[in-house]
Amino acid sequence: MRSCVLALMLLVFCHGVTRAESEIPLERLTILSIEDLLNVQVVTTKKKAESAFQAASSIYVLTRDAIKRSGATNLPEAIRLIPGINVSSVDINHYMVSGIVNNDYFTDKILVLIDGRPVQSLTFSHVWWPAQMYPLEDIERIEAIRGAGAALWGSNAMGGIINIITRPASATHGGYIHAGGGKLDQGLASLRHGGALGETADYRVYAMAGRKDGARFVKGERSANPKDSGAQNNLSQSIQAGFKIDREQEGSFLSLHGDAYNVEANSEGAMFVRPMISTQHFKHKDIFNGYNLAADGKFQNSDDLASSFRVILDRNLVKRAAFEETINSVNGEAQVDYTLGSGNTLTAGATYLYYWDDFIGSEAVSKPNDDGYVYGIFLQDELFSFENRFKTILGARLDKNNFSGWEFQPNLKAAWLADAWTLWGSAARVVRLPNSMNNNLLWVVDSVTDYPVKGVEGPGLLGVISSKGNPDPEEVYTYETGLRLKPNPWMGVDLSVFYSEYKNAISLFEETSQTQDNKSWAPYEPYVYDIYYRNVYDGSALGGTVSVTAEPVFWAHLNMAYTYTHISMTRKADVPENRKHSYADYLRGSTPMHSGKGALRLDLPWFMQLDFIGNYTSEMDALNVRANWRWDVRLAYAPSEKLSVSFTGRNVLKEKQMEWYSPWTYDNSWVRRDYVILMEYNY
Amino acid sequence: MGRALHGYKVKALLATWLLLSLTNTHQALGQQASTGLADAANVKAAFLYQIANFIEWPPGVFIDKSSPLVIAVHENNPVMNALRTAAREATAAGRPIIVRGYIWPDDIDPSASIIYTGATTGKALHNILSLLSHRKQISFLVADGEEAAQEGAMMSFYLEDNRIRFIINVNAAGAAGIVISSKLLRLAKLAGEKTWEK
Repeated sequence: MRSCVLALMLLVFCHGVTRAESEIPLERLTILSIEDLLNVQVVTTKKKAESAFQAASSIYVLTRDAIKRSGATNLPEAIRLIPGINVSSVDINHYMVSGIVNNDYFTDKILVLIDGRPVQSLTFSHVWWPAQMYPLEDIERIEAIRGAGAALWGSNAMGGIINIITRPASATHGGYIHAGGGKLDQGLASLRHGGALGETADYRVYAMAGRKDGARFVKGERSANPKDSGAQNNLSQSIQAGFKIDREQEGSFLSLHGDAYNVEANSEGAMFVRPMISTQHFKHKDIFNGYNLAADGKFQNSDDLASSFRVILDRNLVKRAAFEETINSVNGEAQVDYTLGSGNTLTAGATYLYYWDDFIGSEAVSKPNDDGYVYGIFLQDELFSFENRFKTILGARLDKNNFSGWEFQPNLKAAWLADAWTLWGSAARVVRLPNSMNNNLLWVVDSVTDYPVKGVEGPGLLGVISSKGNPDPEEVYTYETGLRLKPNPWMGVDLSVFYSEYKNAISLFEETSQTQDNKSWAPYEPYVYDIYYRNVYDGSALGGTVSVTAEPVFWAHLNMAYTYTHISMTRKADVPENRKHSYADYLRGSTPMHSGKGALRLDLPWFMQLDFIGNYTSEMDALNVRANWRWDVRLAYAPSEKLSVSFTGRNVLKEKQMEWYSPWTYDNSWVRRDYVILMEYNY
Repeated sequence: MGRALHGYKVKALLATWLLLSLTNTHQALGQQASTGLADAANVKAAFLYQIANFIEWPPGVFIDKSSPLVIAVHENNPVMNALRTAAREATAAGRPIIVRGYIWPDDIDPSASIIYTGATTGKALHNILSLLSHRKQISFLVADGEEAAQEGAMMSFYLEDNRIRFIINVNAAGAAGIVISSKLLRLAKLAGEKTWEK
């Protein structure tokens, strides 16, 4: 409610401010001489977008063309192309997408936005990827900022930000049909229609549907009852529809957009339940559905002042075997950009998020219904000096949340901008706010696998994550520097290194004395002990990325990148030794130390396109995942820009391989050799 | 950083900031005076609308002296609406103006003698150029961005000191048999052709 009032006030404010100087009307321009036209000063409606080449952070922009030419059919597969971002397929529905650190099932240290809408689960701080869909054709670009960057973007951007930006409605006039199918992507289709609404507005509507099948879960390797496991197909069916209306007038840009979706995805696994102390194997049809509506606007109020706002309403439901949760949220943001002088822009803004959820638990997981909020202000000053060669940005965000109170997240960035190169550096403090999972969730996570006395059969231990924890936020201090070079017009080189210091990394913690006390354990009686989230580790991450882009001839485009990441975590001095989880090893061993990515796109004669996409990930010992190569090949026939037919072979060199393995759930499945045929037509 | 930002460090940082801010004020004062302020799309439309007075197409492009001048504009570009409004009751070099929108290069009107593609460079521009040469269509191709003129567009707009400027690629125009008046050339920056193939 308060957000709505805020937005309303803002609208009034934005319209109330008139332009400082009146513009020359079109009729007068057409009678000016060509010399006079050269002297007319121009204004542009849109806020000047920072060019990626001059950014003072480790930014990578994945273009629409690169997405299309990868043959990707969902968002994580497209994001996989971005250097420095780890994407592992758990099964055909679930993906782990992580930045600098933490390739966990709950990859909670990366901020993902679709058109400015944060898509993290507010309970777990991670992303339910099966629920994140958009027609890839209508995605303008995906920007990935690796490293910490909270001042403008919001909390939780510890290890990176993935910013998915859809095309403006003005760019999607006409119709578009996309259809295809293959081995795992058994059928997928999307339809879009767009056009003009009067002289100043444009619209598009779309619908998409997909069905995936064929992958099988990894059989019985960790199941308590091997006979029962692993036979189910990893079926998934999804449908989504949405719209976007943009209105662009002199000095103002307004956009209203929304989506609604439903995904049914089979899952399989085991949960630890009580009072029966045994792992219960399950097959379940998970359901993800929801809808969102967002309004945003940008205004050039005067030569010196620009303002913008965004209001998002979001409701989503996740129904899994162990729980069902509906989260509602209202998100509001207002921002003003004020030009203090030439080359000095002050940005100030306020954000407000309120959410409430409805949680239906089970014997394995429970949580009280709760509500929460995060609100705050941010301030940033961007300053150009030395004849616009030196850019400095000083910014900070001050947030208050219902778990840990006030959080201060400052950053400082600087860049020297030459014509052919940019040298930049940055320092930032970012926090990952504690969530409901860390504070309120009761979760039976342990059972007979931790049987205390060898050779004794029967019920054993029951570990319950309790709400005893109330940990502090996880903090990271990240220092980065990088060099971007353009040695010639057809080549770009990007080098960056980072050092991150982690404080208060949250991990599960178990009171050691309880479980080693075997005497108090009676056979056939459950032994319930507490596990809870606590700030257990401090540590650091050191690494860097080098990437090269080249287009030596107009028919060949090459991208190559290598990333090195070294993580080390140590137990905090005040934390007693923890028998249970060696999370320090887990964090290190679940992020690949070496990763390489490459794509070669060739335009052949007779309207043929040939693309090679390679991906290398070194061993992740904590997940029992070996070093793996993955090669995709795409061959397409595109007789005009309106029509193309493509064949993509995925993981062509291997029959099957494992990209991720969960020590927690059984969702895992092999990533098998796969193909998909896609057809697209614009009219 | 966060906790280190205390006491004298904060003051030193703020002082540096103030100093850097001051170095910029003289730049603000030194800006040149202008005739006025206008929307960039409108200014570009006005340029496109006047260009016909300064260029001569080879014989055969127009049937006679009163044949309309067809301008093809990418539909998503804001210049499209401005040009349509401007062209309603106007003529260029004595010819009525017809504005035709397109989304895909294939849909470019074959009778268009001016094409404005907006910010199109690289492969997308190359595609339009090969389409035109395939069709043997003679059009004055205008785009946005300094690179476009280097890559084969005959003229391209760019922004300098918040004013619209243009580059003309004389070689590209010459190859198509289009003659550009010396007056327009004097006002333009000139570009040589840079081909994609090395």
